Amino acid sequence: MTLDLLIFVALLYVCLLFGIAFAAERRARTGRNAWVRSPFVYTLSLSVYCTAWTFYGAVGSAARSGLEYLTIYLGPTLVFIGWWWLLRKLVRIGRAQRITSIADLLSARYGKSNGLAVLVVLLAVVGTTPYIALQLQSVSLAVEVFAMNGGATGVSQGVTAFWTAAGLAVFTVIFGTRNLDANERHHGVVMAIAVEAVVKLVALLAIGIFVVWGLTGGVGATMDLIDASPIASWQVDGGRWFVLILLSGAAVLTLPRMFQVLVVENADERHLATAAWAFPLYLLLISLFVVPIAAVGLARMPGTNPDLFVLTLPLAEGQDLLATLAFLGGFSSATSMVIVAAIALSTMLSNHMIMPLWLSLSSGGASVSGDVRRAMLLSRRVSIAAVLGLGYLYYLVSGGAEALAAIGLISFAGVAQIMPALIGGLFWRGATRKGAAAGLVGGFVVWAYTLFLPSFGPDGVFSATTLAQGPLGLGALRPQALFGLEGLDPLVHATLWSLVINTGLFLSVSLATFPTPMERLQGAEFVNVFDRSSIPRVWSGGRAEAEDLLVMTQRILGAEEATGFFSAATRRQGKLGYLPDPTPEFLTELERVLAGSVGAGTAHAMIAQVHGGASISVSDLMAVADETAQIMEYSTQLEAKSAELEATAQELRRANDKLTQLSIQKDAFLSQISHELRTPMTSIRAFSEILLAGGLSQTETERYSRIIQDESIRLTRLLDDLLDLSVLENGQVVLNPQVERLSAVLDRAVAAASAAGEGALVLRRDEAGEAIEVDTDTGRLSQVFINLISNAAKYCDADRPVLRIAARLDGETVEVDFFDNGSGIPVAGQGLIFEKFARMETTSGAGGAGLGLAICREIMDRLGGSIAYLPEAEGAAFRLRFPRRLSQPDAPDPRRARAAVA
Amino acid sequence: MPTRRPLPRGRGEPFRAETDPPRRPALFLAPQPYRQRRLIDAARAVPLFGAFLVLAVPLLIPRGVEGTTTSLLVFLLLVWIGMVIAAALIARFLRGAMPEARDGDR
Amino acid sequence: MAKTVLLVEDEPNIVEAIGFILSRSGYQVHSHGDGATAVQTVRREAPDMLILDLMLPNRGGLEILRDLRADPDLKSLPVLMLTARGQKKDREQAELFGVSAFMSKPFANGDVLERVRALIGEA
Repeated sequence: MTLDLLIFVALLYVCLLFGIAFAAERRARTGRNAWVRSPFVYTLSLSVYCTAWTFYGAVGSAARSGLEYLTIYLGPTLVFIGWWWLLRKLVRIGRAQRITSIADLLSARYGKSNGLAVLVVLLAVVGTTPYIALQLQSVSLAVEVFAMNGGATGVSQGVTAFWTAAGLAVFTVIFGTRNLDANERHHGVVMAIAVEAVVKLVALLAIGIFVVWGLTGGVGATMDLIDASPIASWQVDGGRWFVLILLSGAAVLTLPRMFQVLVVENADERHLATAAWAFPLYLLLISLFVVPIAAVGLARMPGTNPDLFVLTLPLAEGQDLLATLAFLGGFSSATSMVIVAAIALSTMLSNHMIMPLWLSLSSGGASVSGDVRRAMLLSRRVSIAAVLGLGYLYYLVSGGAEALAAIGLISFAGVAQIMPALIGGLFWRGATRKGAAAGLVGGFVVWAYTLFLPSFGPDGVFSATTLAQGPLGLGALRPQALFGLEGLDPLVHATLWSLVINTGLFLSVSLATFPTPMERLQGAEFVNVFDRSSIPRVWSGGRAEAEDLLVMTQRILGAEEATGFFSAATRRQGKLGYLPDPTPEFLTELERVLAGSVGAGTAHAMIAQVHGGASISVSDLMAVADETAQIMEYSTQLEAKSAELEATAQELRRANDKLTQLSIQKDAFLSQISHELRTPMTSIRAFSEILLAGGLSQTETERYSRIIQDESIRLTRLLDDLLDLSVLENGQVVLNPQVERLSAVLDRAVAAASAAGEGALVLRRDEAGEAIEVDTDTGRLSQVFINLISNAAKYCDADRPVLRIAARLDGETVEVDFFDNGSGIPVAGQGLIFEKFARMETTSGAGGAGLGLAICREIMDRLGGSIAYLPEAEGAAFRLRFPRRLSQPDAPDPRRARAAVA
Repeated sequence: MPTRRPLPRGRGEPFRAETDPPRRPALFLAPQPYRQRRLIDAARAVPLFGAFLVLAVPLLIPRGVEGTTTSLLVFLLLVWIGMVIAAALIARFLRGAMPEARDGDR
Repeated sequence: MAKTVLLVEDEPNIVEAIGFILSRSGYQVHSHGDGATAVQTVRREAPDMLILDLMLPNRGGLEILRDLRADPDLKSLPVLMLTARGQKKDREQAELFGVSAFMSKPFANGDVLERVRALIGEA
């Protein structure tokens, strides 16, 4: 078997695959696709799970660690056997929501958030690129094995890898981007992969049969050989056994390529019922002969690379045909993985990173800017080339090192970080976008730190010291013994920490945050997918212009397809022409079709743009109303109620304070009144009794009678004042304005005060200043003057008391000052002098009731003026200000009266 | 909109909390849906049982003893085949009911 | 020697009335009108008893009573308190501070005499 012949066979095989893909595409387009869409093709396409890593590496793994390789198949087997739990729901949601990738699924579930999708895309690219490199490495290694076997040395691994990558890029571009609508499925690709799956299986089974019956002599002899081999005893670490099954079970759901064939390429939900048992059977057959091949290889070719036993055993036995079949099997494994991974990654890259960027950069939005369809196709193709280029680059940089061998499991652990957000999203309505993002980021960081970066070996990314002692000597942060968790297998260690932190963040942040309405809606959609007969994500029609929508759709689906879709919809609405009414049903349908091309988030955004931004309709809101509205209303009610209660309480407190104050004032007032009344009455009663008892001299009788008379007058005056004050306070007083000269009013007041017997006071008046005509109630004004003059007479404590009265006109305001030369009122008392009975505690008792200044204040108030005490003056000084002309209301204000009474 | 299934009402029981499982008329059970629900139970139980065997049993086998690889390999292959056969039988019957298979789903 | 009564009261007419009533019965009556200096006056004059008005300028009767009771020499001085305020709490407060007798204004002349006799006996 020469190298040239091998390359020729390989090229022939590739041509065959091209032919099959073309044929499948053509049959699918002409509608005769019943065979293409069989459940067995679906099952076989799932075999992209088995890559070159498993094709070659399983034997190598078995040769090194016995049965551990089985975990990689047992995980998916359990997931498929348990399809009713999880897969059924996943596929139903994928179809109902027109999901285009695993990133799109999370984006759609968590409120059509593109940010989350970008996270998943990055995770997928980081996890998949080394994996693609691994496939390229396997192909070039295999070619090298043949080359060495044939004696040729001219082919370097790098060249093989390059041409493999380039060829795969061409195939993927041709068959992966024929249709823009990811949901229209890649029939050609799926068919080619199904064929490759058969080749893989046949190759492994043929080698297995050859090894067991050809080389060893039957099942019994093989069993004996295994029992005698180095792998005869069960060596597997319990932790690894469990973690590997967990990881492979997760990977079959979250690996981008697996999601692509499992959910996106699924043509009929019922195919899952077949795949549920057929795919585990496929895996069983693939793994059936792995241990025998390993045991025989170890026995016959000790010291050679066990990863290549599948090739080297037949070659060593001279079975060129079998070896070629084995090569084709490995080639199939590698190519099918790379093709599907490239399609899946390019869809994700294009839908979630390139297109949103392009749409936001082209200013006018989807409906007016250039040809979206062409841009989409271009971005897909560039993405495919970029993904393969990245894989090739990684292969070159890593130099095809041993490190690549471990990359399969590292990749599994990486994409397993999607699991918490995925499972939570499918079964828990409380999962939020922020929770999913936090979990993903946390898990990804821990995975990169504990597993991915250390996988480059000592002095790769981390130095040997960092690995051994932690960064900056922090032992707790040693990448492979985080927080002192030592002695664990690095994979188990990394999986444990990353998933624990991932799940913890996901749960706690979800519980702590509140989802948006769109998140709630989509959450309900996903979790209750089986309870829903129709999709409630309804566009409310009306403002969307059908023509705009058509223009936009043409740019994405192409003119022919878009027009077809629109006229079909128009016919269904019973209209002529090609422009349907933008009914909610039509818009929803259109969004679903567009979502197949550009992803749910972008489609939603595009329609929202044309539609005028009403992205959430009334029915949307009603769908989430059951929880959101109730909670919000309830909390609003509570808030309002508590605010109301608070206000009421405050009002009550205020009222209570006021009442307490009023009560205190009332008590004080009553006790003052009591004192004021009882004091003269005491004198009157005492002297009446003395007089009645008799036996007094004429002088005594006269004197005591006079005291009784004086006290009676005092009592009367007090009662008069009280009544006066009460009348003034209640606003019931009737004012009698009259025009009079101010000097005349003062003259009368002075005369009245003197008549009352306060004669010692010397008055100094200002004749010129008093020459003011006033038009006010001069009787009341005179009462104020009398009060002030008699106050000065009573309380001025100077040896020769002098009262100076000064008057002037300030605009239309009259100002009259009363200054005496006494010591004035102490500062402490100044604030109280205008209150009723303020006199009592502060000044010596001498006739008068303490109501004078209170009455003055009330009168001045009625006259529209004021009375103030001037603290800066030397003696006691009062200033009156009142308008020269009284502006009297027509009638007493009843409101004011009532307020004063209350 | 969440579609709420009309709640079957028992006699003398005018109101039922929504969280109660809907009570079905006890007099007559159509054999077809009944069989289907039991098949769904089986579809759920088989992987759990299989997972127990696959995950737990190998952990109980002592390590480093000669000859355990073959016996464990045979054991796992038997479990595997058993699961495949069980799943195939269940799927055969469930397949026909799938598109309408909303009942019995929680 | 006649017993002396110190009357602390700011209303001159009431001072005159009580002075007349008591002196006619043989007591010697002095009077004082300012609350601030009342306690000094009591110490200086050392009367047999004190008639104390509740509302006085500058210093209230209750405060004066409290100061008297705090002084060991004056602790047992009979004090008759007069008030025109007529509030129950004033009486309670006065009793708390150790007043000997309490009367509301206006009063019957005979009552005053009777209280004084009850406290310090005949003149």
